[in-house]
Amino acid sequence: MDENKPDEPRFPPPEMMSKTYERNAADGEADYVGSEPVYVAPVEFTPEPRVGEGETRIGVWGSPASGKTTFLGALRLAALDPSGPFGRWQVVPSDDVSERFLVETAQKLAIDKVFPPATQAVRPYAWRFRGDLSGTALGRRRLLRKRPSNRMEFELNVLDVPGGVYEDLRSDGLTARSVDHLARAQGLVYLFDPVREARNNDSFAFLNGTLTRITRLCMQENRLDGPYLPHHLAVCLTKFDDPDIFHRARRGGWTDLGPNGVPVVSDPAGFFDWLADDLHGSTMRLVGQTLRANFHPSRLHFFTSSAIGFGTLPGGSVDLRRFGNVNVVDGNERIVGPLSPYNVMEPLVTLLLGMRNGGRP
Amino acid sequence: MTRVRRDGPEHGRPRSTDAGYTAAGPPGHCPVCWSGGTGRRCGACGWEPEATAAAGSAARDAEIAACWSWDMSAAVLATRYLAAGGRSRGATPGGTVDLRLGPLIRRAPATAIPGPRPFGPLDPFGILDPLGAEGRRDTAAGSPAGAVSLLTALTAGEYDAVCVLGISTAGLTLRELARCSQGTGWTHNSPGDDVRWPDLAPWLPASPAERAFLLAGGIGLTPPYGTHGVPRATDEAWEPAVRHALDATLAPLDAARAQGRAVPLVLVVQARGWRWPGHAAQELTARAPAAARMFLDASDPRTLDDIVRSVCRQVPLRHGYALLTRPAPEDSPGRRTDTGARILFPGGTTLPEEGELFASVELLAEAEADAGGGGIGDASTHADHADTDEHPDAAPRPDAEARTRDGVFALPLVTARGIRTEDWPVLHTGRARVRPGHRTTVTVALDGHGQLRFTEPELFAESRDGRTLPHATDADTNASRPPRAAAVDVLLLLELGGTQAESERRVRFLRSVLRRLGATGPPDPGAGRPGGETPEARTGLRIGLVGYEDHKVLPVRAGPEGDSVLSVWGPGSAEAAAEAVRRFPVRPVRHDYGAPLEDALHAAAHWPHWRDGARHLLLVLARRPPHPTRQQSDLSLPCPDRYDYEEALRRLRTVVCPDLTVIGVRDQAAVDTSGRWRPQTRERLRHIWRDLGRDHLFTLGTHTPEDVVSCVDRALGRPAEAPGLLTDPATAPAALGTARRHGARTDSSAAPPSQKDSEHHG
Repeated sequence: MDENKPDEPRFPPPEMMSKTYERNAADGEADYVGSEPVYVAPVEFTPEPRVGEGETRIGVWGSPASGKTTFLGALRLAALDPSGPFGRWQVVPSDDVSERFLVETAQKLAIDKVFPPATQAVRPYAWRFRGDLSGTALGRRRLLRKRPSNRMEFELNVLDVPGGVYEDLRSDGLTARSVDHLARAQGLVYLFDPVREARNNDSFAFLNGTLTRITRLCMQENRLDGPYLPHHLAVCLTKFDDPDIFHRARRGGWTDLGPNGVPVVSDPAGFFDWLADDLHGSTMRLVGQTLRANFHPSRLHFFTSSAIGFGTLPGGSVDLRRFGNVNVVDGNERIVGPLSPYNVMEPLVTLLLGMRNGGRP
Repeated sequence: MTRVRRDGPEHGRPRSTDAGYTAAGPPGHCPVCWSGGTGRRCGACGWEPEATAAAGSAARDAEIAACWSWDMSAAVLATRYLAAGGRSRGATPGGTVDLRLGPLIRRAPATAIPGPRPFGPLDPFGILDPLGAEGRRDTAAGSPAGAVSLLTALTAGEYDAVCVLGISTAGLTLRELARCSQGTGWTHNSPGDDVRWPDLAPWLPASPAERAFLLAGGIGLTPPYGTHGVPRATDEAWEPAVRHALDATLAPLDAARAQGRAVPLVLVVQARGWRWPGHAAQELTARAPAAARMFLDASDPRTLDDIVRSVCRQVPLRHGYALLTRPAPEDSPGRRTDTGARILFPGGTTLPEEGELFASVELLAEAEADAGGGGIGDASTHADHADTDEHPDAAPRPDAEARTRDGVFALPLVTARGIRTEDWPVLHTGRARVRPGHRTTVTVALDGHGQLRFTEPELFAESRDGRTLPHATDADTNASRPPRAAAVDVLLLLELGGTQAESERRVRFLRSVLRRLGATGPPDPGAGRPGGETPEARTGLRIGLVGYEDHKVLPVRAGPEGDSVLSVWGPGSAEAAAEAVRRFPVRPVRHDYGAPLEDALHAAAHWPHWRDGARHLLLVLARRPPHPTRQQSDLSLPCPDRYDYEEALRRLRTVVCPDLTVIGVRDQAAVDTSGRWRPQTRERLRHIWRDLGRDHLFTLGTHTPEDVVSCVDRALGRPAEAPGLLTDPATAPAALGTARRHGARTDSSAAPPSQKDSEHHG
């Protein structure tokens, strides 16, 4: 799609540059076939095919318990919001496994009010997203045109793996497959869990080694863009609804009141850096420096996100005196109120638009 | 590179090479320090104006250099002061001048900087007042020896009080120290308001840096002198301010002396080298000479109160402190007294510079029968008789001997003042459960205020409002006990959430408490009938029960939920309450980090059965903290009914039942066993128990129902049995024994291991 075509969605839209909202990351993946393994670890998987036309491979990446599966499960629920700034979207599973995951996770989150269990095995998923950006900040205004060219459609392939496979110096077939998947993706969603980081200070351990391997793979395939990786990256500061993180954001003066009375962070990249300082002694600053060193600034997007969102009042607004949406009973976390995914679709749409306008790696 | 200064618009203006030397010194005034009435030689800075006028241009350069030197001294003083408070700008630790002060300094010609100074009348940098120079010569100027000597005499009764006058860069402050009524520690009073320089000299600039510069004695390029009604001569400008400051500050001291009280004065100048604070100190010398003086740098970060406390630490104890004990059986024959004492801190002890002083003594928890009679038994009997006489209608009480067998012992701390041990005044009595028949270590800390506290063993009951609990030798201190009440209202709050086993444990404990209350309490006119007592009943023990279960719905909602989380019973008799509490249901836990204790406290604050004139007591048995009133940084959800437990408790204690006694019994089962509680949640749990346990705090599984009942009885003005004393196994005469000294711990919050994790009030 050519950027000069007036009826195409443009990126970045001026409204986004004003940072009215933050975007969040989604995940994605592609078919798993293709080139042979290219790095040291023994690879024991079937080569995946090349990405087909119209398919977009997005990798979801993050430390253990950073909420990758919950994020994927909330994608469909987030897409159902007709008032979202990302337009109207339909998510169609491409196979039975993907359909089952989508339905089961939605039931767990919305009906049972529990979080999906931690991923124990590799699960490839594929969904087709059909969207209409008309009337949103992401869509392009079309005068005297009738053709619905603000509509988008893409295939999203995701490889859902346990977060532990991204641990530094881990080398097994699963890790190799996951890293290869990330390397071959056009877009990456990196889920950074500040709650875990505040507690364990180990997020860098699940970033550094993986990023090194991805860089090596891209180098071997001559895909590096100067000193940068070719990927578009959406960095999602997850669990923004957690009272500890949200209170820090408020204390630092990073929050504004957005539409519908929901808090927004106007400058998520700045908040990321500020939080790195606030979590003194953590590895968050290293994480930020590493990401900025490896991804081109124009392809790096920051978001604050929450798969379940804040606890809301009737009407959808947030009462800052009581916004927690997680209840812990017998050590198990449960969702308290209605689900209102916060910045879940936005990172995905941002990545897609960026990839379309910025070319493929 | 162009540097932009943001200190002010005037700072950007170019200046001529001799800018600053404006010959602004008024005629007959010193051109350097602007002192008025200067004769041949300035008394403040030593400059000789007449010699300068006759000497020509070279002397004029010297005068410019002297002006620069004078201002530089003030700027250095001000910079050090600002740097100590973290408020300096652009000054390195080496002592360069604050960025804001640089442009103020009158400049010297290039030939005079930085070479040797042309004239030597001025003091070196950093000393601009005569007293400061004196203090500089006196190496012991900052020594508190004189003040310590005065305070030692105060403890000996030679003075009625000691006043400490602090002169600092902030202003003048007066503190009065007196002896504590118990003979321990000090009382600190502020007999008057602090006087601040900006109030005395309103023409001082608002900028802290410029104000400090002027206070230090600086003149600068744009001095306030000679403008807006301020006299042109500096001493004429400052004299009224200094005089008024001394008059206002010393008025309480003058009044005390006029009444014939012997009150010496200690002067603490915390601005050594500063001209105008030093001038105030000099004026004081003529007005009310100080018996002792201390000169400290303005960069000393301590407040006057800190300085006074540090001096008090160096004053030796006039009387020692001791722990009353029971002599070993072999010591008893032939002894005329039944109690002994182990000296913990002998007279003459001084505290270290920081932290507390600890003393430990190893004693034997000996049962009454084991001791072979005597000792505590006699003393207890004495106390018991006193109680019985005072309350002839008292119900039968458990025997003190039985309590001793239970392992409850009294730990009375006394002042070693007097000849007979029995006459030593009791300061504080703690009670602790000690394993009978075994040795136990008692550790007492002496803090910087001269106060004593137990650090081990763990005390389970604390005095209320400073009133101590009874013990064997405390028979004569019944005046401290509340009078016995004819009507008593007790409300019990019980957490219902938990497993069956947890619930049964709580209910069993509560029933045991209720049965004991019923056995010892006054008869209830409407006994056995919940709510059956007529409103006009004004006597008897009435019990109310409030059980609370978890909120069913935790999301926010517009109004209170329809189904109450409370199960309310009563009021009724203790026996009926014991039966009723057994029928309270067991409810599931719906939230790990909080229970609706705030709802129960709100109900207690609005309980309609509190009687006027009755003694009021609230007993809380809970495991989890209440829900906060608003979302905090942890996963505890706020109360959906929007109740505020702190507000409810405050209302209970101040409006509904001003005499309310609150007893907290915490169930620590399954509290943060997984270690997943966030610090904020743990802190809230600590906070609520600190609040609820302000009067008495117990732990389920550690303390017994008897412990709770004894405190209830005490709060209700009933005679409490006197627990026994620990036995001193030392063979030497007990009163001469001394404790093993731990030494000091610099972290004042430190405590021996047994106390570290405890939330008991020591």
